[in-house]
This record gives sequence, C-alpha cells and structure tokens, in this order.
Amino acid sequence: MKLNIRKIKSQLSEEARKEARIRLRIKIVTIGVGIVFIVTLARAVKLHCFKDDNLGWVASKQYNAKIPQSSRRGKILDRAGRELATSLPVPSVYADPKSVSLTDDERKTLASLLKMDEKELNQKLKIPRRFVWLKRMVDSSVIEAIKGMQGIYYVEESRRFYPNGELASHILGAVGMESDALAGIELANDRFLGSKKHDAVFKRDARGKFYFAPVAYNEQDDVDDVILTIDKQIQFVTENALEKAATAANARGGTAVVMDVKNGAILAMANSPSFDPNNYSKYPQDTWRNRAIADSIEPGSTFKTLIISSALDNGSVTPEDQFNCEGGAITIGRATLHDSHAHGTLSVRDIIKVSSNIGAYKVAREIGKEKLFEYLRKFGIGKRTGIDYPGEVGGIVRNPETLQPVEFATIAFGQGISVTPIQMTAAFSAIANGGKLMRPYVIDRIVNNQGITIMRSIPMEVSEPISEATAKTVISMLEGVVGEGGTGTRAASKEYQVAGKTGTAQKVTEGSGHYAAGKYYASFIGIAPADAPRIVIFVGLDEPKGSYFGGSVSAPVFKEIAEATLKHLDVPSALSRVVVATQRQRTDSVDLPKDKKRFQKLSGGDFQVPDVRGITMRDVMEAVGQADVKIKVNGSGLATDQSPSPGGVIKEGETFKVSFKQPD
Amino acid sequence: MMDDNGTVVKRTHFDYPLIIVTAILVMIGVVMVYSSSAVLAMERTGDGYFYLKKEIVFALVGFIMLFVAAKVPYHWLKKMVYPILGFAMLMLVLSFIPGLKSSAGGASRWVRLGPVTFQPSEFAKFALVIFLAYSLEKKASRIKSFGIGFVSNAAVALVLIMMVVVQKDLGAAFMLATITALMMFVAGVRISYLVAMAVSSLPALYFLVAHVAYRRRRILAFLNPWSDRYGTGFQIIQSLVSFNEGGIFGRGLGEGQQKLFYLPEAHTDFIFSVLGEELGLIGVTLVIVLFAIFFWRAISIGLKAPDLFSRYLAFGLAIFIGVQALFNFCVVMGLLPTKGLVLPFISYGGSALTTFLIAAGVLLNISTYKCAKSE
Repeated sequence: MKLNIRKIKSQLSEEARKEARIRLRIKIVTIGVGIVFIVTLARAVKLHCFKDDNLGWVASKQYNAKIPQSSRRGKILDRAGRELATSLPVPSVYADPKSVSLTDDERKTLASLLKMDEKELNQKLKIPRRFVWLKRMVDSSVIEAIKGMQGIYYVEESRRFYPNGELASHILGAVGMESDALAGIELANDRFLGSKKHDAVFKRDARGKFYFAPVAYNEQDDVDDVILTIDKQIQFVTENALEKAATAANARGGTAVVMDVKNGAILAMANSPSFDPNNYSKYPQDTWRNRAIADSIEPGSTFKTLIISSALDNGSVTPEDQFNCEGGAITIGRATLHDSHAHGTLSVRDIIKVSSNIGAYKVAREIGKEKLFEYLRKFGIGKRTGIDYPGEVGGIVRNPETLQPVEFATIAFGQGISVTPIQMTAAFSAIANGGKLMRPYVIDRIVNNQGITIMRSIPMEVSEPISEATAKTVISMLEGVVGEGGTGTRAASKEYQVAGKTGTAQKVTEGSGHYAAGKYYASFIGIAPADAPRIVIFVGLDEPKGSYFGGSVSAPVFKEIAEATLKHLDVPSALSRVVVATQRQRTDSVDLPKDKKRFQKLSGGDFQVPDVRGITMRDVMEAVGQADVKIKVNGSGLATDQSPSPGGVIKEGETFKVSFKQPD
Repeated sequence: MMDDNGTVVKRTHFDYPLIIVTAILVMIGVVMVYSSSAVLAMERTGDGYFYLKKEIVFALVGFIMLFVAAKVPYHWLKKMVYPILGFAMLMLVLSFIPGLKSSAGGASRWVRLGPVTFQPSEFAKFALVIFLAYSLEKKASRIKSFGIGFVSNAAVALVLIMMVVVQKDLGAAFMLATITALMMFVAGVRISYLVAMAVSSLPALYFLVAHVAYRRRRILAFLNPWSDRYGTGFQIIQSLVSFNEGGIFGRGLGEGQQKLFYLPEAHTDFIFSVLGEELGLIGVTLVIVLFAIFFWRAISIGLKAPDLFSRYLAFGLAIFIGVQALFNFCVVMGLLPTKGLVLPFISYGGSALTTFLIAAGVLLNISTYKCAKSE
C-alpha cells in the first residue's frame, strides 16, 4: 500500500480550512449575540434611569385613584394676628355603594339626616363605583347617627371659614368646595396656604384590592399662614364708612384705601358692594372685584395735585404765581373748557384750593408736555404699582407724541387719562412721604407651620418724583383745600389737621368714548395728619346720585376713616386729652369689672350682650371678641346706643348695632 | 484515550463558571417565582407558597438531572438521537389530542399525563439541537450540497416548526428557526441557501401574522402600544411601567406593585419585568450579565470540544439558552413583539426548568473533554 501523501496533505488542509471556517462562523454568531446583549443592557439603562412621564402617569393612575378632598389651608391674619380666614374640620359623608347594605328605615333616617330626597339618595347608592359623596360638610351630629350603617362613612374635610363675614372679603378672596383658591390673597398665595396633601386616594393593598385612604385633617399641617398689613379694626371702620356713604349716595359702587405713607403698607382696602366669602356663590361675580386695583378710572381733579407738584418741583411755577383763569371758559382748538365756577386771576395755591380746570391747564402748559409726562411716570401713573395682589391693571396713558392740545389740556384736570385707585393712593403717599414713592403691599409676612417666617415684605422705594421741599409745599397747599373756601371743607377734622384734594370726574360711557351725562366718579384723596403725615386715604364713589361732588360725598368718608385710623394708631390728636379725660371719668364712675364688658357665651350659640355704652369703637370690637356676630356701627366717638340693649341675648350670626357720637 | 478520528482526548474537570452561573440563575428564579406568584397563588389555591413549593421541587429534580447529564458521556446522545426526537414529536402530537391537551392563553401547549403536565416546546428545541448536531456532523463532508447539507436538516426542523405553529406557539417556532439557521450557518451550509430559506419563509410568516387577529394586534401593539392602551398595548405598557418604576435600585424584593394587578403572566413570560421593578437596574444588569457569561462559557466549551458533534451540540445549547434569554429580554423591554417565550432558569415551569438544567448538564459533560491537539 502506497501512501498518497499529497492526498493526505490536501485532506488535512481541507480539514484545517473547515475547522477555521467553523471557528470563524461561531465567532461571528458570538459577536452578533454579544451585540444584542449590549443592546438589551442599553435598553435596561434607558428604561430604568430615564423616567418616562407617560409610564409614570400610567403607574400612578393604576395604584391610586384620586378623590378631590377639601383640604386644610393656612390662616390669613391681620397685622395684629387676628384671624381673617381660618379652616375648620368638618365631616363629609360618603358611600361605598358596592358594600352598602341598609334597611329601609336606615335609608329614611339617612336621607333626613343629610336633608336629601330619598330618591336622590337611592340613586347615588346605585352608582357603580367604590366612592360617592353623599353630602359634603355636614353637621357633626350626623356622624354619630350614621355609625353602624354599612357602607356609609365620613371623612373630615376642611371648611374655609371667614369669621368676620364680609370684612376684607375683596382682599381675602374665596375658596371653592375642593379648597381651590378662586380669588384674592387665597389665589395669589395658594402655594403657601394650600396643603399639598390634598387628595384623598384609593390605594391598593398587598392583594391589589382598593381601599379608601383620606388624608386626615391633622396631617395636612404643611400649610403656611399669611399675615397681612391690613388692620382688622381700620378695615372695619373703612368698610363701614364707605358702605354708609355708598348707600346714602345710592352709588353704583365705591372704593376706599388706607395706606401707610412711610412704607407703602396697605392698612385697609374696602370696596362696595361687598360679598361674604363664606357664601361667595350667592353673590354676583361683579361684587368680587377688588375695584381698588382692578378698575381704571378717570381721576378728575385729584390729578391736578400731581400736575402742580410736578410744575413746582420743576421750578416752572411757584405757589404764588398768578394765572388768568379766563372767567371760567377757554377755547382750545375747536373745544371750549369750563370751570365749575368762574374765576379771574388765581395763584397756583388758589387754583388747587378752588380746583380750577383752566388754571391747572395753564400750569401744565408752563411745565410742558415732555417734562410733565416724565414726572407722571415717576409718580407711577401709567404702570402697575406692583402690589402683591393679583389682577392689577395699569391704567391708560396716551402717548404724549400724538396728543392733541385739547387732550393735553384735559389731562391737566384728570380727564382723558385713566388710573387706578391704588396708583393715586401711592402717588399721594409719595407726596406725604417727602417725595418718595413706595410700592404698595398687603402681605406683611408668611410664617410656616414651625412658626418660622419664610417671607417678609421689605418696603420698596420705587422712585422719587419730587423733592421733600416740594412735597411740603404741596401738602400746605392741600391743607388749603380743606380750609375755608376750599372744595374739601367737609374733610376737615376737629381732631387732626388734614390735607387733601377733591375730584369729580365725568365718566365715559363704556364703549362709546363719550362722556355720559350725569355720571360721575366722586373722589377725595387725603393726607393725615398734615404736619407729620402717617396715612393717605383714597375714597371714591362711583356714580353717586343726587349730590355728586367729591367734596360733598367722599370728603366726609375720608374724615371718618382718618379720625378712627389715627386714633387707633395712637396718633395724638388736638382733642385727645379731652377724650381721654372724658373716658377716664366715665370708666371710674361706672366702675365695671373688665369682664363684664365681654360677650358672654350662652348655650346653643347665643351670647349675652354687655353694656358697651360710653366706650370707644375699639373697645366695642374687643368686647365682641371672638363671638360670631356681625357688627354694624353708626357714627364715631363713644358708643351711645346699642341693640340688643345691655343684658339682651343675640344669636350667632346676628347683627349687633352700636351708635357712636363724638363726646362734646 | 483516543476517539474515532485518532484525536487525543483528555478528561478534565467541569466548567466551574458555567455551573456557578447556572446555580445563581436558578436561585434568582426561585426567589422571583415566589415574589411574583405569591398573591396569585393565594387567590387561586389559598396557599401563597403553592408555586414556590413546586418550583423548588422542579429545581431539585432539575439539578439531579443536571448531574446525571453531566456524568453520562455525551456520545450516548448520538445513539439516542432518534428516540429523543421521536419523544419530542410524540409529545407535540399528544398536545393536540383532546383529553390530554391543556390550554394556556389561547394556545394548547401542554400535555397532561396523569398527575404530570408536560410542556413539550422546550424539550422540542433541546431535541432539535441534538438532532442537528448529530446530523450536521454526519453530513460534514457534503455539507455544501443542497440536498444533503441543507434540505435534510431543514426538513426535520420544518416538521417541528409546523407542529408548534399549529399549537399557536409562534415564539417556539421562531426559536426553533433561529437554532436551525445558526447551527446550519456554523456547520458550513451555504449562506445563499439560508438566505433563500429566510426569504421563502416570509410569505408564510406574513400569512401567519396577518391572518391571525391576535398576532396582528400584537404586532401593531408593539409598533405603537399607546394606540390601544387598554387592549393590545396593555401588556407591553405594563411591562415597561414595571421597569420604569423600578429605577436603579428597584422597589425592593417583594415590593413590586405591577405583578399584583397589571402584569400578565408575571411568574412566567414576564418574570423579568417583576425583577426589573423589584431589583431595579442592578438586578436586571446582574441577570443579563449572568446570561452573557453562560453564553460565553457555552461557546468556549464548544470551541474546545473534541469533535464536531460535541462542538455543534455545545453551540446549539448556547443558542438554545442564551438567545432565548435575549429574546425574552427584548420582548419584555418592548424591543420585539410579545410572544410566549419563557426566561431560561428563571421563569416558573417544571418541564422548561428541567429541560434547561439537562441542557446545562450536557454542556458540563462536554466541558470535561478536552482535545489535546488543540492545546
């Protein structure tokens, strides 16, 4: 046998080639599989590490079913820590229709307890869900009665409660059924006031079964309290005075603002008509509006104050410069402007005092369009004040470039320009504050549940439109307005020296651009005390019927608010010594123990009324204390008359009427 | 010792990494089966440990069979090729017979023999690997011929594929086809034949998918699961939610939420999603890496194997376990359409687990033979 070496060799190399090919192909497959392993790892990293919103949403939705629950909110307090808005735990009754098993008697009882129609109740109990509200916010006595009813449960919800009713309602705003903020401070500060634990949830247990897990009221402690610059007492006085005047004048509405001139803090902000945030839905939405910041008005003659301040500061005029007031009529282009009373030659001081339109126009002409608008901008006219409250508007100021001469003339007396009450308040405060314009604010600070202040407002100077000297001069001129022969004599107080300016603006018919006959905005903006200003008060009445002059309808409101406010702020008055003496005398003679001057709580929500006669409004407020009654006051000074009479009984929510009179 | 070809073959020890990886995977599997099935078991049988107990028994039986397989020389399988293939086919046929078959998820995939139910599809894959290794070695010299190299092997595979397709088990069919294609590719079958086979199967694949409503929906759901969130897209979205909820560290063992209500087949086909939710990226990475190590060890056992049969056998088993694991990962992570494929060693199921462990045992046995020449 002969070995065929070549054949063996070729066979061997064939084997080797095959072997190499197999190894190569195995490696190709291995690399391919290896790549897929890496792809799966990359996919795993993507799925695990990058949160997918869609997937997260699916997950949260299937683990929990949310039921909106009215949750606790932080308190809103006035500057002295008195409650303006608070939350109360109130039971709400719900059913788990799948587990409901009630006898006919129980159904009847339940329907009557919940004040529901039995048909309606039965319908609700048939809804094929695990959760149905039967009645929200029920009396706590209901809870005892439903115990033992199978499938009927309750959860403690939070009810927003405004203990003072309508007081400061426009500032506070309101909250809806699901503790959703609707307006005002409630809305603007919802992230502080609201609890994040606001949803009752259905959770899944370890077996995947649903169970209902409401958030307990006490657990919702993640809320902050908002402390306002508002003073409950000043707000009370302001609202009362405004409401009284608006009613007397049969006005469409009204606004009053009290501002601390030193820092811009708003002490009171009142609007008429008002609403009760406890029952906000029963009031037309129009009444919710905070007119002080949300309404644009043509200011009228109060605006002259800004014109003359600017002209004085610019050196264009001096207080004693004389202007010819053209006998009450002047023709500019094709229009004729009138004064309400004919005047000859007047000094700048007298132009303000008697409120001459023609005089104001001539002063404005002295300073000139460009310069004047620059001053107005510095006074904050034409832009939002930046108040920490939602819904502010900026007013409308025409472009000076395109302004016709007659339009420039009307701006001099506050027509053809629109501003907000808060802008005018701030501008007057700048004059009262030595020429420095402060940003108005209503929130003093925000305190968290640990009592730690997490936000505090810092008074902010916006600009300095006029010098301190000019400001002093202007105030002295405004004192003339309330003095004899001025338009604002009814603002004059016996107790405090005040200064201010009246305004009676013709209103433009909405949409037409024409002035409406007989429709006016009557205002008075005042500074008190004039020698060392503490506050500026804006009072505006919208469309008063009968007497429509700012000096006749708004000035007295200013006086009432100013006197009460300054007294409350312990500003010594010219008469304070007399009042204190009188008070002391009376107190000594009556010699009542202090607790006698308090509302005594009786059973069933009744209160026994003390004798409040002879004490101040402030003391009356104190006597009422936390008793849940409304107070209606009349006049100012010391209490003279009360209803119910001393020792009488008043029910919760009823009105306690007190009349006040200045001691002689 | 010399084998038939005159190659010097040495015996050595088991491949330790392979057995360690296998043991870890089975342990992870037992734990995950308990975690994913406890609530279901409680509800179905009143015993939360029901599936855990059975899985532990399966694992013990499986490991005994693993050691037996590791001890029996792989050559014995050569002699047993046809009995094994015949048994696999018999089981597949039995699963059609009313009275013996048992359905799961719209597909009849189980055979009930007295107290034991047997799922034949994993065993069929195992049998196919043995058959192909045997056949491809036998025909090694004429592997490039169309009739002998290609058709004869493909025909056997096609019979098995047809049988599982009739059972609506498209996942198994896909896996059988992949095993066949890759083993034939490695053995040297002409690539053109393999491409032609793939192309010619497309019409059939299209027919199978497009004409069966639930498969068509599955494909559509895969392409855009959100289009039918509560219907066909439900399963895959729930699986993706599990991974997404797991994050890097997972919710913690037993803390998974998805298995409780939404993840279908949590303890079988979708057990990896439960693992993803409970053990997070850490656990998922561990399992993927363990399978990669397993695959790599199986391939290197094949490369060191003394003859073509054992080489093909090791390669086929590497594909059987490694690629099936990959397919399962891809399905549960939304990279492939959903189809019934269990995760080797980890998913619940007695016949599957024992089959995979026997396959691991065979690999271990091959690892004890070393071709001295290749050293």
